[in-house]
Amino acid sequence: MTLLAQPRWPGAVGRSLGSVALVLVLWHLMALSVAGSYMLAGPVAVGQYLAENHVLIGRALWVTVQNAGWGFLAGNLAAIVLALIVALVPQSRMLVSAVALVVFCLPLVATGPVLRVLYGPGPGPQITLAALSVYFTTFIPLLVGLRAAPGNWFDMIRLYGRGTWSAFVHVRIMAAMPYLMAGLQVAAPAAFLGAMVGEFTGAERGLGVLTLRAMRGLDVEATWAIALVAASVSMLAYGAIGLLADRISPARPEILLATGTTPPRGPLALRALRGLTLVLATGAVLVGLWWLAMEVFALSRFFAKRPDDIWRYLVTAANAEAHRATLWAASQATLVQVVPGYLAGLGFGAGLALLLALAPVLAGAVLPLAIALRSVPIVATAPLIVLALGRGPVGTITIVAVMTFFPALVACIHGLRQAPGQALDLMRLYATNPLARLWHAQLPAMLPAFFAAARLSVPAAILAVTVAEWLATGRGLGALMAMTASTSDYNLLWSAILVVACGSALGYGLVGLVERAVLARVAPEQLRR
Amino acid sequence: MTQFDLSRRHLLGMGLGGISAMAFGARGLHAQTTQVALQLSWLHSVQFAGSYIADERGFWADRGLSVRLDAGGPNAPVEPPVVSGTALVGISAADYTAAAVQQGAPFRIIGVAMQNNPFAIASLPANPVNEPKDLEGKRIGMPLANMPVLRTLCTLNGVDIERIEVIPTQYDAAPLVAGEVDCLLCWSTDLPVAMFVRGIESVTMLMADFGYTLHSQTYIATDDSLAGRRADLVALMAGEVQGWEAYRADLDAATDLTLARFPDAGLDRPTQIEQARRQVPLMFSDLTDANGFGWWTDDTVAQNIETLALLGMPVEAALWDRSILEEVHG
Amino acid sequence: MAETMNAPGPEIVCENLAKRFGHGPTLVEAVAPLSLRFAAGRMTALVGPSGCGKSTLLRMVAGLDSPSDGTILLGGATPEALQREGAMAMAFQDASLLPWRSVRGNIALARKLARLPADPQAVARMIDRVGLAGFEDARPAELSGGMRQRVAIARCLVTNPRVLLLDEPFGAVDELTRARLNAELPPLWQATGTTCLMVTHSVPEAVALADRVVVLSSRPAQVAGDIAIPAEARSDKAARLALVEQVSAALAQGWDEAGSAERLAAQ
Repeated sequence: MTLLAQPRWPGAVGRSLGSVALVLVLWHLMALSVAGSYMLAGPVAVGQYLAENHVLIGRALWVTVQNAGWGFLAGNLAAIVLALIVALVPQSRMLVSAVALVVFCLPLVATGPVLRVLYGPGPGPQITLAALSVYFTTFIPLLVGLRAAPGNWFDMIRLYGRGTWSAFVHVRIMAAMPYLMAGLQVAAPAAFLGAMVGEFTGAERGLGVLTLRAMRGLDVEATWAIALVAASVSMLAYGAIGLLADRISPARPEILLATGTTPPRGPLALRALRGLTLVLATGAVLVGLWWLAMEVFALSRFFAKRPDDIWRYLVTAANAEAHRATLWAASQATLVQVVPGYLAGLGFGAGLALLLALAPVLAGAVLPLAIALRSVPIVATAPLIVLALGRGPVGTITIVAVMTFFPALVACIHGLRQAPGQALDLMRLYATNPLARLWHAQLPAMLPAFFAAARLSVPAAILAVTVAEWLATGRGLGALMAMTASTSDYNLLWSAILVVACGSALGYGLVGLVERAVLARVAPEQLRR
Repeated sequence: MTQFDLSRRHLLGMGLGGISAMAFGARGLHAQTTQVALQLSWLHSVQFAGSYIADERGFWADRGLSVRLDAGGPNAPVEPPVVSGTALVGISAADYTAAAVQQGAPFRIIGVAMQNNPFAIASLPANPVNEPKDLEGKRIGMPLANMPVLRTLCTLNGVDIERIEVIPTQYDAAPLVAGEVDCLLCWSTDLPVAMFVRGIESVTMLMADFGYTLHSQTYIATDDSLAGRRADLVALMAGEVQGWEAYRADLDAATDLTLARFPDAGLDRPTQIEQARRQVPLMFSDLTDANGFGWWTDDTVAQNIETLALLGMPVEAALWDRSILEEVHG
Repeated sequence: MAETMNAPGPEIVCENLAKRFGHGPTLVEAVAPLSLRFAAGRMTALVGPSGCGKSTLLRMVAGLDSPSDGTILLGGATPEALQREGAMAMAFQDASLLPWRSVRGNIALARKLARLPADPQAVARMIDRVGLAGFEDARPAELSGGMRQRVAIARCLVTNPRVLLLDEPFGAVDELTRARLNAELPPLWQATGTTCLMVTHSVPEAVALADRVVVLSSRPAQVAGDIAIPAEARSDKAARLALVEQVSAALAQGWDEAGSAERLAAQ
């Protein structure tokens, strides 16, 4: 389940050192090529900055690490509790997953101010935002992991007259460990970024605060020094959890990644009706929760709009049509960028994983690079990508792709390892060329993991595109939401949030359908349990 | 619009506060002083040095007030905490306040820290923007949220906005230095200062010099507070006035205080002292010399209303409530 | 055999047992109505062609699958009742050990699940008896296939079950290991009065281990032969070979009949 764990001395270390050197050289060359632009500082300048300001950076790092740590803890704890609820009460699955998904999709521009009002000053919002950015990516694999055990194990439990609870205690929890670890590993960098971005809600100290200051102050050395520190911390956490995972659960049961609900039976019309009912019921519960949360915390209607406010704004108000048109135009602008970016990210991730399967020697060099790329805060990389690729669609699509490729890469690498060893041996026996081996054995084995990543990447892609729109293009839903800061048009903000949440859920469901159709052909065993 | 059950909200607020206090250590409360909060509009810096002086020198404590200074940030709008009562007073801007009022927020402007609007067009000397007409045919970098500002400037000066190429950027001087754009829409006190400190010469055209009359860094409070917490408001504003007078008297001391107070904020002295200098002419004028810090007249309000109308925000003069300042300066 | 003895194993009575999977065009009749009795305290082997439904039969006796029709009673009680008493044990084709538990942990877990008091000495004795002394702390991944199966057998026996079900427990181990296990393990349960039911592919294994061999035909399973294995055959090689011949013939016949039935249906 881990990428950086278990280095094989000395080859792996050599490769890792080599890749660090490669990163440094590439970085230096890039910095040279944009010298004078104040967009990227080279390794020498960054090193110098760090040497001079290590006390300041160290203190800020400690603040952010603490917040990220608490958020990591809280978020993953929430994920575990949610997964346990679903495992013990399987009927709650759809509802809990939908609520989890929608809450995960809530844009920062909406949650930040609300959290700040709820908590007042202090680290509350930072911790909460860190928690919010990790819980979903732990929850989903864990949900799978709790089911990922051979049927015989459950038979054995039943044979002794024991029920759900014993199966849970003796089989499911331990069988889920590798999945939990995989989730935690992805969560580590996410928590750190979440805490940094959480500092944008009015924190007094931390790396996020320093980043803002540095970017406004044209302090490009500081910007990239902070990016380097953030990336390093994320990579360290990623690797450390990998090592921990290897210690805790050296035994790895088979990997299951599909959604795995029993396929619906009966005639199509009835199935559609049942599905529709479920969706409507879930929607009703979500709207109820939305309203309830705001009432319980007695949040002011000025900025915390209720469902009926949005209904008025979008349906019954005099200029509701104009409001809808604004939203529709922005949604379209967002859609044409998020879809290609999402597909490009997935394709790039899967392609890279396949490349690594063909040439495993590259793994030591490519993986740290990939983790670094994922860990550098997007606020720092976005201007650079924009400088290189322009503010047109290519730039935005690239930003989205950068944000989505990493989960796909990690999942596909895991998936490729699931290829049955005997089938591969057989092919080797016939001297099948590596490409054919990839096509016939490894690719099908990779698909379940790929789709799991594809589902998780839907909200990630939408978050990425809104950030890119906010920071670079000024178009689409992201820009619309960011504009609220100056216009106080919270009706528009909550309407946009509604669109984003529904869009994410829809995309998630759509990918699930494609997944089901494809896996039914290539990996039906993934859909059984 | 803003009716809510105070006791319930406070109860919950205390619950959350209690949790964070247990986890992160709470500051002691002084029984004899009233605790209030002032919501700043951005991260701590010399931009709010007057408030720091008021705090450090006891200008508030003398009046029985303890003021917590809540930092702002890119994702920390000022209006929600003021509406919610988390902060008694917020530092906003006339256009932001007008927009919020349009959306139903019960705000009044009770003081004006920046008499002159800090918005400016920054450019490089090789391709300068010295007057609004120079904008035509140029590429301007700015966050799109500021489009109404540019449009208003163009309207005021007869510039054809269609002839300006607007390029959405982050609030960052790098695109100008890198040649991605020819000029920036920014505050005269931040991005030009950053370039100055880095040794990059720039040309700054203050929009206030070209008809863009709009109060900035305005103090806002809710109608409820104005009705029920006048004494606290007067005390807070009196401390602010005294603090900013002290600021003007000694910019170096104000800067040093800011640097000492926020060692973790990543502030550097050259930037802070330059910013401190540049904001003096925005905050102090003949008007304030005659009437005191934060003051305005019916004339300036009328000019503001005109600018706001161009920005698409029709407001009435009643948005400005001078009664608190009158008590302070009276 | 100084183990504390449970009540002796029950007689297993299957009446008109049938099992169908799926419905409509995908309906599969795994077990056609079948009535069988397995004597208390004896070892019966079920042999039959692949996919004939013998494993399904075993799972129904275990109470893991419920029959579509008919009843199963073990000494008058339902399989579920025996499950609750912790009186049932089963070994699967793959050892199905929990990979995160040691040999000792896997065996001890069975006692815990069966609600028996923890008994480290009984666990240690059982490990010793299946010849794994010294491997107490090993994880399943560190053991060979044959060793894992021995752990699975020990896990079955450590609860002194009244009914022991073996689903091709040695199917996945090599011939030599299998022969050794065949020789070593039966004494472990033969003296305890446990009712044993074993599904196997191997006719010699069935003859060597069982008191009786029931031969099933191709799906849906019917009894194609029911051959008693007299105790003296164990020590008489010629008699044993004759019995293997007899069972094999029944197996071939069952296979053939099903085959011709299929051919008839196709015409």
